[in-house]
Amino acid sequence: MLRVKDGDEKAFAELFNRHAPRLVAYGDRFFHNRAIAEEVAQEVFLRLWRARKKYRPRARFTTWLYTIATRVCLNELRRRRHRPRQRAGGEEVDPPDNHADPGQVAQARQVAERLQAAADALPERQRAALWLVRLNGFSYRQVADILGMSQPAVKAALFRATEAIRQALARQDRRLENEL
Amino acid sequence: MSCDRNHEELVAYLDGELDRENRRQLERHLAGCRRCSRILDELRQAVEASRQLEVVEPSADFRREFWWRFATESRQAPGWWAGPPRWRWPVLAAGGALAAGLAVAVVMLVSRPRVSEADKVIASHLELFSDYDVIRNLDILEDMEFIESLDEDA
Repeated sequence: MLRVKDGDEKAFAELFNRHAPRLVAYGDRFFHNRAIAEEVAQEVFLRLWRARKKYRPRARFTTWLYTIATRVCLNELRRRRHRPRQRAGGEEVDPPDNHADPGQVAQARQVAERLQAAADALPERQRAALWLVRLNGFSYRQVADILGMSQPAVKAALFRATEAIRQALARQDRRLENEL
Repeated sequence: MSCDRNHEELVAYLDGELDRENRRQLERHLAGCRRCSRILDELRQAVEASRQLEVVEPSADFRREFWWRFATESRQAPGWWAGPPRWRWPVLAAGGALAAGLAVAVVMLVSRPRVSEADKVIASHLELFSDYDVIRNLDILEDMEFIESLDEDA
């Protein structure tokens, strides 16, 4: 990042190649639409380039990157008032596994949809904390830095988010038991 | 046996965020508390499900589109140009004036007109000729001033 700070475009390309794919996945957790997630990830890197001179080496690069990314995602989310319950039509991101049992595939898809619906209903910061930890593997301390929260607040946010998912999955289990 | 333990610790435990001492304490509690053990199992399923959710990959055009946007933005706002708008117009005006001046000079040098001796005579007596009504009402006086300047250069 120090090379990028000095205007090194090759170093910037290396950073983009290394981090942008994960950033698309992070954006997709908010929008459930790959095209929007890609646009947001591109915008994050353009902002990063514009703000490169403000980067301070004492801040970890990924913390800085995801601070910008979370801000852009949440702003875009508010702008679009976008709370989809399922992936945009026609967008097949995860090709079906031909060897998997269709019943299991359908059940796994139901679990994923239930989980996503529960996550989408969370307050913004809980949602961001959830995916920063569970998708990107950030520590609570890093999430606290990214979201400008205390570590106990992050711990509480992660508990509430996980508890909401636990309850959503439990409701689904009860429904399946009633159907049998 | 009832248990009112705060379950925040359970999620932090699953995320590997408890220090050694707190982890040992919790594990001792779990060994004797069926309720917390059951909730821990359910929370573990929730954590695993959220970790295993499908992860989208960027499309084939993602990188190309980004570098196109980057190149477009770089062309529009290179370095010094990205400053506050109030600096841009004076710079643009000065640059434009300089370019226009250079263009006029080049055109004048390339297409320098041939000046007849008669024209030179008229030009050298502009004040006299401008007294004539027939000349005063014509644009030719401006042309004569130009010819006069050429004569001085010569």
